[in-house]
Amino acid sequence: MSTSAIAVRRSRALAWNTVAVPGADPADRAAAALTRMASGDRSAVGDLYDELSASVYGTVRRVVRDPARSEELTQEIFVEAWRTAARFDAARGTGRTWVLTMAHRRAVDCVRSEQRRRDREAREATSAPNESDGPAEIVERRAERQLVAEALDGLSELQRRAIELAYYGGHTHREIAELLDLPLGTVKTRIRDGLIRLRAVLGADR
Amino acid sequence: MSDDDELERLTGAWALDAVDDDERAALEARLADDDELRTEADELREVAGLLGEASAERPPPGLRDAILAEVAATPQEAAPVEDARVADAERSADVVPLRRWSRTRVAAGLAAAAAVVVVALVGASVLGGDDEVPAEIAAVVDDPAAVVVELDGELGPLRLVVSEREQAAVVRGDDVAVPAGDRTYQLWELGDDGTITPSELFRPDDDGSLEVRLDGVGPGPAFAVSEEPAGGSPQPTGDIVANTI
Repeated sequence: MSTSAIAVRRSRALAWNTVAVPGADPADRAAAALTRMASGDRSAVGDLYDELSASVYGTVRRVVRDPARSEELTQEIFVEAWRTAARFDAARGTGRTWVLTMAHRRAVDCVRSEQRRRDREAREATSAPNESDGPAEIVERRAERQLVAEALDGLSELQRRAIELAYYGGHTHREIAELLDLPLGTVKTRIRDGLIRLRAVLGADR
Repeated sequence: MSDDDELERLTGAWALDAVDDDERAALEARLADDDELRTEADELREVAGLLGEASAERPPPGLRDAILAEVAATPQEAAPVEDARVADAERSADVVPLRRWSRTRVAAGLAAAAAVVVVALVGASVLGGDDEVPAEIAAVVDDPAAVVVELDGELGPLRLVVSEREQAAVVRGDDVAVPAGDRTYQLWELGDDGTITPSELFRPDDDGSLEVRLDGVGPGPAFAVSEEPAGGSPQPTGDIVANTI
């Protein structure tokens, strides 16, 4: 089948800004915006931003910390989402997760390149990274934040530390093994077990 | 313990980006062949996203405008076309009901089709504009905010470019069957609330080529086409010969 025929057989969601795009999950507004972006609709980037900017900026800020750098990265992430929107696959996960995955990856890459200059490991090994940060101005999803915090508290100490060092600290599992002075396989397993437990507590329906 | 077992236990670290580039490549190669592991990895990624959301924080003012300004000057990459996605697209197209005026089934078709990965070739090819298009056509297809809608069915693929600015659409197709006598094709708007609204009439040229501007076309969000008597109909009387995929 030729490429043009494939293009014609696409899902086509027609919408003005005010009309919701049909999708696998009607509540996934990020997916709706990404679908419109994939068709070349630049105005949908504004919708995606309104839906996800706090989550993206907050995720980046948590990892990168520096506000100015976080702002730059957030801009790069939304532009990247615009450029590559056609790669989003609704069968594989929500639009929200697709964008947040991209955001976290960029933040981690940023931190890891900085780590070559700054030796942060020793400092972070002795302080929980999410508690030493200044109080973030949380404006949304307070209840969800609380739920996640409680779910993290429900993990074993080792699971929680490993997950926080990985996600919020941007460390690889090898680095975490060194930081926590544990065998490599143990960290890998604790992270996986911990996430599976979080999934059970929080539900994997979004 | 085998290397495979080692890889399987890496899904959590992968979901948190706590792997190096070699590990990421190795695991993702494995995920391509292992649906069960793929599902686990995708689900753990969703959980990781919740960790990010828990950190939500309002970004500085002005960032939204800065992003939209950069987006306005940034082209999109050409979408990759993969075999699996082609197969999905074909399968989905096969199950889309085309001949019933059933809002439910149309909606179901839309939902099924929406799960298919969108291949964004359209923006560049349709909106890029030809040099010799008539002004009334160009006004629609050159609108940067225009939305492209693909229709398919008995009639073959049709492409509808809808411009809110122009309050008009352009319908395009090739090798479109010419209706007998003075019969005509009619466009219908399918509203979110299940309404079917009559829209404009069009006919292809005698050689089957079709490029017609339709004024007064609204936002849809979905469309269908039927063959109707001359002058069109207030309600559809013919079968759907194309609709939004």
